[in-house]
Amino acid sequence: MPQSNFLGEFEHVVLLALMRLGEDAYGTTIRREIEANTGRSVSVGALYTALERLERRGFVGTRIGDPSPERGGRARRYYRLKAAGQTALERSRSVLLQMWKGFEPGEKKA
Amino acid sequence: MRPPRFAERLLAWSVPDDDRVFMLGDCEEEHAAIAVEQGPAAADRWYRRQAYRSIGRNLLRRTGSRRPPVRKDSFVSTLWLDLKYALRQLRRAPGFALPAILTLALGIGAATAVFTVVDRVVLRPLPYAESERLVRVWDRDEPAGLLYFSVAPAHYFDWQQRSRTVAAIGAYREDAFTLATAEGGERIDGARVTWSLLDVLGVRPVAGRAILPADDQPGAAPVVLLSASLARRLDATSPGGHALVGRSLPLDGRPHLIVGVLPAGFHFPQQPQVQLLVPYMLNSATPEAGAHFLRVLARLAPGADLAQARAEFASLAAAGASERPPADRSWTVVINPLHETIVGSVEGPLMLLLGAAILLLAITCANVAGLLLARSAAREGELAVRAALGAGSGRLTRQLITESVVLSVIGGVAGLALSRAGLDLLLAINPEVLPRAAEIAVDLRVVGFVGAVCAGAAVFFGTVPSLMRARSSPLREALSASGRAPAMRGSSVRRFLVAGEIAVALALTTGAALLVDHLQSLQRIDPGFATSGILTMELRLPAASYGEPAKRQRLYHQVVDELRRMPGVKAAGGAHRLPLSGNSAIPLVIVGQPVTSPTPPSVNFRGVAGDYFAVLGMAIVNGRGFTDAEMWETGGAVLVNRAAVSRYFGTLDPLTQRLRAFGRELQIVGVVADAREDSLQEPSEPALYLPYAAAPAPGMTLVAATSNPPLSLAKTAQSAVRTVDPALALAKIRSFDQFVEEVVAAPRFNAMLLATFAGLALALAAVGIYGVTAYSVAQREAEIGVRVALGARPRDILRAIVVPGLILAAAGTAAGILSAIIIANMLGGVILGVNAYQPAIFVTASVALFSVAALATLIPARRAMQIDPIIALRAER
Repeated sequence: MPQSNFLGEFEHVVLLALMRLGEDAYGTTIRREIEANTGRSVSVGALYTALERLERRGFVGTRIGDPSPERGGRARRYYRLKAAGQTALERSRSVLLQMWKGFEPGEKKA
Repeated sequence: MRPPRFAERLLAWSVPDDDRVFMLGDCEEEHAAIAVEQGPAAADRWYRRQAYRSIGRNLLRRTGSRRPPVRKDSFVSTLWLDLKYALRQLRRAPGFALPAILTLALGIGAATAVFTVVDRVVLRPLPYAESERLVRVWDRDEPAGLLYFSVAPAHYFDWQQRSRTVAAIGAYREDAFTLATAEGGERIDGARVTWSLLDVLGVRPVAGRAILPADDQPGAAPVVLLSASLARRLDATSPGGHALVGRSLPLDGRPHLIVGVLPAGFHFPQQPQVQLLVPYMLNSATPEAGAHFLRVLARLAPGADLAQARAEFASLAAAGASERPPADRSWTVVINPLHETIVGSVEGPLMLLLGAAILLLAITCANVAGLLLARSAAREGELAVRAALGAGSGRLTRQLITESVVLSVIGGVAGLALSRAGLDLLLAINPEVLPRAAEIAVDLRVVGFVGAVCAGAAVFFGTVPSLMRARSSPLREALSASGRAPAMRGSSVRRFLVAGEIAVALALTTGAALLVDHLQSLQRIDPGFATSGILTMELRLPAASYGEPAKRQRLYHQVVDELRRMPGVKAAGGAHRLPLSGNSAIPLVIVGQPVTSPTPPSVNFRGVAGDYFAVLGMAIVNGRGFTDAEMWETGGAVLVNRAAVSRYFGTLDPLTQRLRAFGRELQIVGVVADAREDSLQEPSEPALYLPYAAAPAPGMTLVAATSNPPLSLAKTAQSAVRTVDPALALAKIRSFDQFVEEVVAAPRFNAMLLATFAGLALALAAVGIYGVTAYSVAQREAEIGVRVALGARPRDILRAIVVPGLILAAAGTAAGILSAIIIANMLGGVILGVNAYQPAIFVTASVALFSVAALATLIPARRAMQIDPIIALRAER
């Protein structure tokens, strides 16, 4: 399915969270990482929606962990950033920086 | 600690299956963490917020709009699978598929054939532009009992000049023309029309021009418009008939200029056999302007409605009355929509037949649904296995519905083919019964109807067994139940369906019996005239060569003599109208009688020729018949029938009386026995019989009594007429029996059709009850085996099987009697003369139906009695 190579803001944030978390990225940690760093509250529904889309676009991979008792005997699904995801992140960043050129962050045009 | 239960359930319910475990796990893990960090209340609050905020996103993903078809099969690919599977299933079970398809085809075919007829004849507008604005206009003389009478030219001209509510008004009269051909003469049906008639109908010629006002003037050069089929016959090489325009056609001994050709789809209203139109050249000044012979059609003016037209014509008639001679003052006007005029008489019966066909369709559906139910019960094991292997209940339902759709479509296609055959049969019974028969054809609308029927049937068949399935048993139970426990699920629905079938079949059978009884009573009526051994043929003298009455008298005298001389002919004569083919009326004026009312009574008359009474076996009960001189030369005599004597002459001796008719005085010379010349169902009306010389009509129907088969004389009769005048041609040569048969053709048509439906319904109901019983015997084979082994006598087994069947039959019959009463009353209301109150028919039909139903249960019951316990028990797993 043809899709733009641009990342949405939330997708961008999710991929960055995966990058920061490394091996320990699964639903709970990702959600907390984002909340802690952005101060925005994130619902699991929104998070899973974004993760599913990113997986479909080939930006993230998954693996199933072992069941654990604190999860009611349920397994974790770990996510990791794939090379394509890394590339997409970098391209997105450079595009944003390019567009920001000449404007100081925080500056407002009167 | 556990997360809040409700929120957890909500979350679990909303989340896509693939994510459920992980999302719930994540949330529970974090819930536990927060409980440690901030306390359980905060954790629960957090969990609930998470759940509520996620539902929307979860559901959106679940419904799949953004979800790729990763693991789920696409709709089309599963459909294809289902189709293949369904076809394989049907092939594998021909014992189920064949009866089901055949039954469906029968029901759909019958309903389609009747729907086609109803659609074309009744539902569709007439094939004229804005046909809903077309009306037919009649003269009416209520005191004389002439309710829908031909129009007098004087009235027609009056309306034409003064009416504002009609945009166009035209008159016509069908007529027969003799076309001079190389072989002699050929008779062609046509009509004389006023120039305005084609405007009324909104028809334009495809070649040449219409009839112009100038063509319609008395004395104008004769012109003719041809129908497309006649044009094709005259010159097949000219498409549309363009080459014919401007050529001359020898009609009735005069060359007629062909001015135009009508479109191929044009049917003359009520007279589809009309092949050519000639200008009427009506003249308001002719002496016959007061006679009633025109058929009048009009097109309502824009903005005017039927009620306004009726009011206006009524006032025109009232205004004209004072100017008219006293004899003509009681005439009023009737206006009815043309559509109603043409199809009104058949609309009720046809709708009734459509109802019957739909009932039949309902029976077939019930039967097929029963078959499917039995089958789905038998497939319980298969379906349970499929469910256990992971087929969702929606998936199984879809499979079942696909199977029933396949079944319905096959049945529908077969039904469509069957309906074409049925339609041909319907029309072959007698096309003349149906107005607009020429327009009947199977088309897209009909195919659409079949499609709708199939879809309805498929949904019905598919959902009933699926609903039964929804309550279906778990795998283990279903698998272990096969063979032993009576899998009676769905059997109460089946029994209900079968009882319904019996009820409907009984209602149809009763209705058919009533119609057959009605038909027989019509055929039993003694009309007062003979019908067998009589040849009838029509002859019409062209006005050009036979304009003078004396010439016509000479010709008919010669023709009748020629016919009499034919070998095998006992007597020959003619009449200007045969019995049962309408009436002509004149005022009855008895010479010397004081006039008691301002308007003399109207009385039917027949102009007769030769041995009319002898041929038809009508006895002269008093006085004598006409002498040859009276018949062919002087015409000064008249005969009356008994009904006229008793109504108008009282104590007077009719033989001493003289009547005034056609501008002269006639001596009554004899009294004729009454005959039902008007209609088989009505008692005889007063009638006069005038000798040919007194009423020398150009067109006569000749009759000849013979001891040979009448039609064997056709050729001889034709050449006998040609020896008198080679330019003349006989038409409509047929036996009188044939003609009288046509009169009862409509009741026969209805009776035959309903009887066919009833027969089918009866057979289907019998099959239905047989199926239910046979199925229950098969299901209970093991149980019966055990019973027999334990010492049950055959009688006990018989009772166990037959009693439920009989209860079913009794329930169906009881319901059927109720519906039969309703149907009978409807029949009585729709078809004139049907006697709905006939207990004998009701009882006979009920007993017959009950017996058939009982018989249908006996066959499987016999099989149950022969069950060998050893074999039955060994078969059990």
